[in-house]
Amino acid sequence: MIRNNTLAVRIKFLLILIILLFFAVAGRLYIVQIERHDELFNKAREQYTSTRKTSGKRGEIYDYSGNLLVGNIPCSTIEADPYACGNEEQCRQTSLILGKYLNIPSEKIYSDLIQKTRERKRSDGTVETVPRRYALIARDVPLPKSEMLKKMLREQNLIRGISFKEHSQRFYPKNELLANILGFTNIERDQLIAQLGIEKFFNKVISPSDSVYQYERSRDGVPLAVQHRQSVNDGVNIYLTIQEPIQSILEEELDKLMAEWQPQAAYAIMVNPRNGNIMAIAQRPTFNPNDRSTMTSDAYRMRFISDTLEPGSTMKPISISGAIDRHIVNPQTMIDCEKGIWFYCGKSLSDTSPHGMMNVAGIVQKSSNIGTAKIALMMGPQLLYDTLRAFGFGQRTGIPLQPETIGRLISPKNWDGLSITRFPMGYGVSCSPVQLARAYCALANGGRLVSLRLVDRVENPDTGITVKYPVREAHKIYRDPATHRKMIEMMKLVTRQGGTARQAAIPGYEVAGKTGTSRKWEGKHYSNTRYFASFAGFAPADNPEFVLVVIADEPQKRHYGGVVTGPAFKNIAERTLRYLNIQPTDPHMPSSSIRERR
Amino acid sequence: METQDQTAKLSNFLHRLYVRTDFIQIISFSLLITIGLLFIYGTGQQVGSTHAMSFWTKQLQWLFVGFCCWLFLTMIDYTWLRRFAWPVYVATVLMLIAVLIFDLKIYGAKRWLQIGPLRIQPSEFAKLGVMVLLAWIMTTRTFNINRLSHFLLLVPVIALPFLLILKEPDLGSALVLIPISAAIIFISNLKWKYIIIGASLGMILAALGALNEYYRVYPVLKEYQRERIAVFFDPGKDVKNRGWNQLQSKLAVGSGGLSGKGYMQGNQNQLGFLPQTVSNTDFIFSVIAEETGFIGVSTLIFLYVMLLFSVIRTAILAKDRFGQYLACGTAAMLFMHTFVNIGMSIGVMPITGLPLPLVSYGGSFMVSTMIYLGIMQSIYAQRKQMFTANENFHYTPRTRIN
Repeated sequence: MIRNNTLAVRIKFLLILIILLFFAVAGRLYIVQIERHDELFNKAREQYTSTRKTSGKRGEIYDYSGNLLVGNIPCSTIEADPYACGNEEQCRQTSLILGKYLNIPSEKIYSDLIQKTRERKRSDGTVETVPRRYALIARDVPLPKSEMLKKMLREQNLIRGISFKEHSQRFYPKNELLANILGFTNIERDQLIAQLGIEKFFNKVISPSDSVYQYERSRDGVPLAVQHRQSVNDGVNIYLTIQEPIQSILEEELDKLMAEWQPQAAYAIMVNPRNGNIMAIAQRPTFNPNDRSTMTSDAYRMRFISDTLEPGSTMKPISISGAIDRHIVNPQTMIDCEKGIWFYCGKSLSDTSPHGMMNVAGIVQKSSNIGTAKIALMMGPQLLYDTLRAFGFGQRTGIPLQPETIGRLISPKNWDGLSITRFPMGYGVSCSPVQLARAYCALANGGRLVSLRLVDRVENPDTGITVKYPVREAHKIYRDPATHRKMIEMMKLVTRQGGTARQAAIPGYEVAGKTGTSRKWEGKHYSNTRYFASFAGFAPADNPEFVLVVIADEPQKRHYGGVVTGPAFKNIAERTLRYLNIQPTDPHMPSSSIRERR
Repeated sequence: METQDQTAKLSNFLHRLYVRTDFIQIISFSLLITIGLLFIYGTGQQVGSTHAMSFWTKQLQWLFVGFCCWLFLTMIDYTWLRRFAWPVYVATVLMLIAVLIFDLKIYGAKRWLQIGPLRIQPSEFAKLGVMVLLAWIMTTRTFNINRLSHFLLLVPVIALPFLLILKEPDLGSALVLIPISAAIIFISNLKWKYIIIGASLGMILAALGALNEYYRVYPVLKEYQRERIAVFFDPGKDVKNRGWNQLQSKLAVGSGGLSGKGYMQGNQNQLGFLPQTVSNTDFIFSVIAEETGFIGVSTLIFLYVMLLFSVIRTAILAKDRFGQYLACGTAAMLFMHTFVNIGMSIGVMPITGLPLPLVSYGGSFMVSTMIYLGIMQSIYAQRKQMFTANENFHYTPRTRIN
């Protein structure tokens, strides 16, 4: 038998052992808690803090009176972390639910979720297997649907590994309407890239501000009460000068023109000549920004500012206005139109229909090439050049879009002998459809060249403050104020009996305008089969509400501007006048007719 | 006269109460239980938790049951337990078998027994049963531990519940039986040479077992147990699944620093990085470490040292061998749980799922711990007279067994 005090020794031995072991634990704790504190603390913080980028809302785009043209709809992108998605059974259930409501084959989702690893090449060339942490399941799912899915998955305890990223998708409620002007955006990775149109050129102001902030999150990713969140600003809203009802009329009529004459392209631009506001603008072909399959570069290119055409006869009133203004001719001056064919510098120049002696008004009305050329000869190269330049050819129009062409207007020192006879009738000079519309604005409003406006005002959605885009001072062209009246009276004749565009006449209203039919340049010579047909004009002639230019590129069957684009002009103009509630004036009022005066 | 007599009686009673009671134990366990309740409440408040209060209130109920057991045991004579050694042992073994038959699986293991509204964990009571039976066997008159045939008698007593608990599977609880038995055997009359031989044999066996598992010659461990051990040696290996708790626990402890993040301010706990399933049981120490820092856990460890000191002092003061064995077994159990639990929280032990005595959530363990402590009070109350020279009270132990 061991004596009792020996037993006490053994018990004390145990006690000492226990105390020593506890000291070891305390020492270890000291190392972990005090010495390695910073390291472990940072590691822990790394996992429970998360950064999140928030953005405001991208600015919306409205028409002049506040009809929504481009908006945002909230939606989610559904992503998965296959590694965290659980076992086969859970993946199966998850994919069934997602597949059912997203209209994706559930097998496809399942095979994505069940793929838990992927192979990664290391820098030394060997392949290692690493967990697969990302799979995209669906993009741009409307928010109500994604919220419902989120709730369902959470209820069935399958939410682990599936994440819903909220963002907003650009939405174009009017589809094709104004598509070319509005442009569109693409998503690349997480970034929204503005591709074209207003979306692109006002990207800076309509983009919302971002803020990156850190927050503490639970293991499941649930954020704690938001701490120190920077405010984000929504992008500004843009109000265009476009008037949506008129735009609809214009596009509808342009579609009719396309159907009837099947041109390669067609343009229609309507501008308020007093302030340069573009009221409606369209081109064909176009696209639907909500449907990516319609987007070809032919369709979304902004051809009305980037493509050029030789305007042809629509240039004649502009050239002649220079001669009238300097009193070189007046509307009654008689000019010999050479019975339809005239040789100059060894080249012949002909008229569509032969005329003998004709006054200047007749030259405009009948669109005589020979008459126009002779007037230009009387003006001389410098005055002709200055006149065309004053009407904005060879310059930008002020429209806030890019890329914009300045067209082609050669300086007189580079002209050859024929230039003086061809330039005034719109050959050898090229411009974009928008430039032509701007030049007609000057004809319509008394010789004042306005800058075109597309954006009327921007509104800060946070403060409600609206800033109007300035109307730039118009540049005066005419020296003699009487020139304006003379020009208007001559251009009114075009749509009257004996003019080239009787189809463009609107019953009850006076229309001033000019047709244009230009052969397309084919590299070496002008084509005999391919034409630009155009009509540019304004109504009511004496107090114009709008300038409207309609151009068809290579119409089939017929090619005369009056025939092809005249009716479209008439229809658009008539419906617009009615929409604007302009009172008709009696077209048979004798006072305004030049013929009467003569 | 009468009142004077009553006052004298009362004062005598209070004095006896004072002498009988081990205040060190009471102070330490009260503080530990308070800390436990505070942090069980705190972990219930995790972000996104749906049953914030349920653990806390349940623990309070269990604490009440445990306290009643403790109070009862402090007042009875512990030697009376000798008569119950076999019945308690048989009952616990039967419960362990019942656990395996009626499978109530929680977190993948069959450890619980549902009796009416109560859910008890028989393995906690099995430790008590083994301890009492060992103490009984070793204090029978004819038993001589230095004889191999007698010593081998102890083996089935330990092995039966050990294997049953291992089958659940609950390796941690099963392993606790070994230090309890070892401590009891260590303070018996066993000769040093046998102790040394036994310890060496044990070590060789452990090494052989490890090699066996490593090369999978005849694997005994379950796959999850093997993984836990693998994760212990390389916590970064499987961060998302099995290594998760260990890593998060270490991050929690480490980010506590000197003074902690403040009560219920621990990010690891509050944000659910330490899952709610373990944050109030196996890993409550990590939560305490994160929220109270080094100062807090040092205090906690000091309280455990205090508690163990009181238990071991009881062992030294015990009037008989039975009491000594019980006290040493209790000390071994408490130490094992505390040491292994803290060890796994700070990453020096593999995850075994041993709760922290008096602090972790868990009804059965709370009740069984209070039973141990009640027995300790009873042993202390009937201790040898050590201070008779200076003390003028007349207290004689009623019986002596050996």
